[in-house]
Amino acid sequence: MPSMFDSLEISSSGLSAQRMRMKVISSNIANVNTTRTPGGGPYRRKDVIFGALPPHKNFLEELKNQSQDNGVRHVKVLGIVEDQKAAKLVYNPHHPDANEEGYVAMPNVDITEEMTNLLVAKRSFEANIAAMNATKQMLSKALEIGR
Amino acid sequence: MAVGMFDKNMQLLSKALSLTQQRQGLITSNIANRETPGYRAQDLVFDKQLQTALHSDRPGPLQTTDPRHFDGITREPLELVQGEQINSFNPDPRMDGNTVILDKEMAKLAENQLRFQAQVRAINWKIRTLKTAITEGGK
Repeated sequence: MPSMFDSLEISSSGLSAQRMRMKVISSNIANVNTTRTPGGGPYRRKDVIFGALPPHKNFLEELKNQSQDNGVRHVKVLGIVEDQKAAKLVYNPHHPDANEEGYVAMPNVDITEEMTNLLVAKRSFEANIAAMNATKQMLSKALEIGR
Repeated sequence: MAVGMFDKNMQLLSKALSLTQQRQGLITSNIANRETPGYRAQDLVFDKQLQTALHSDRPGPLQTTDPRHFDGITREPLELVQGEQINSFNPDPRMDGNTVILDKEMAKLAENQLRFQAQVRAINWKIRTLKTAITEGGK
C-alpha cells in the first residue's frame, strides 16, 4: 500500500521531470540561431520523453520479494531525442556557414512552439506543486489525530 | 461488532483514512504523469464497499435457523475492504493515448483533501468523546 510519503515522492518526480523539460526548452530557445554544433550542422530541436514507472520498492517488500502493483506511477525522463524535422534554409550569402547557393541551414526550432511548450511545462509544474501542498496539508492534518 | 472502547465507527474511519491516503497516491501520480504518453488515469472507488461492509452485521432478508445458513446478503468484513482500482473514464483521450484530464484531477485532489480532513475531524471527535467519558466520570 502506498504511504502518504509516496505521494510526495511522486509529486517531486513530476517536478523534476518538468524542470528537465524546461531545461530542454530553454536550450531550444537559446540556440534558435546556432548554426554550428559539435556534431556538425545546425542545432536540432530537442524534446524529452516521459515514462511512467512504478515507484521503488521499499526494503521490506524487496525482502519478501513481493511486488504488489498498486497502480501509482512515478514520472521519469526516459531520454532526450532530437527532432528530425529538416533544417530551415535561409538565404544569407554573407553568412560564413552559407552553402554554394547562399543558403544557411538554420535550426529547426520554432519559437512559438517552444513558448507554448514552456507554458504547458510551467502549468504542469504548478499542478504538481498543488498536489504536493495538498498531500502536505493532509499529512499535517493526520498529525492532529488524538490531540 | 464492538471492539472494546473503539466501536465500528472508529474502524470505519481508520479504514476510510487509509483508503483516502491510497487514493491520494493515485491522484498525485495522475497529475505527475499528465504528459506521459500512453498513461492511463486511475482512481480508487471504495464508497460502496465501505457501505456494504458497514451494514454487514445486519440480518439479511432471508430467515435463517442456523448460523451457517445464507441469509441473502453478501458480507465483506470492514478489515478486508480494499477499494476497487479503476481506469478513469475519458471520452476523448489525447493522441498519444494519455487519459489524464487535469481539471478533473485537481478537483479530485481538493475533494480527497477535504474528505481526509473530515475523517480526521471525526476521529478526533470520537477520541474527545472518549476522553470526556474517561476523565469527567470521577469528578
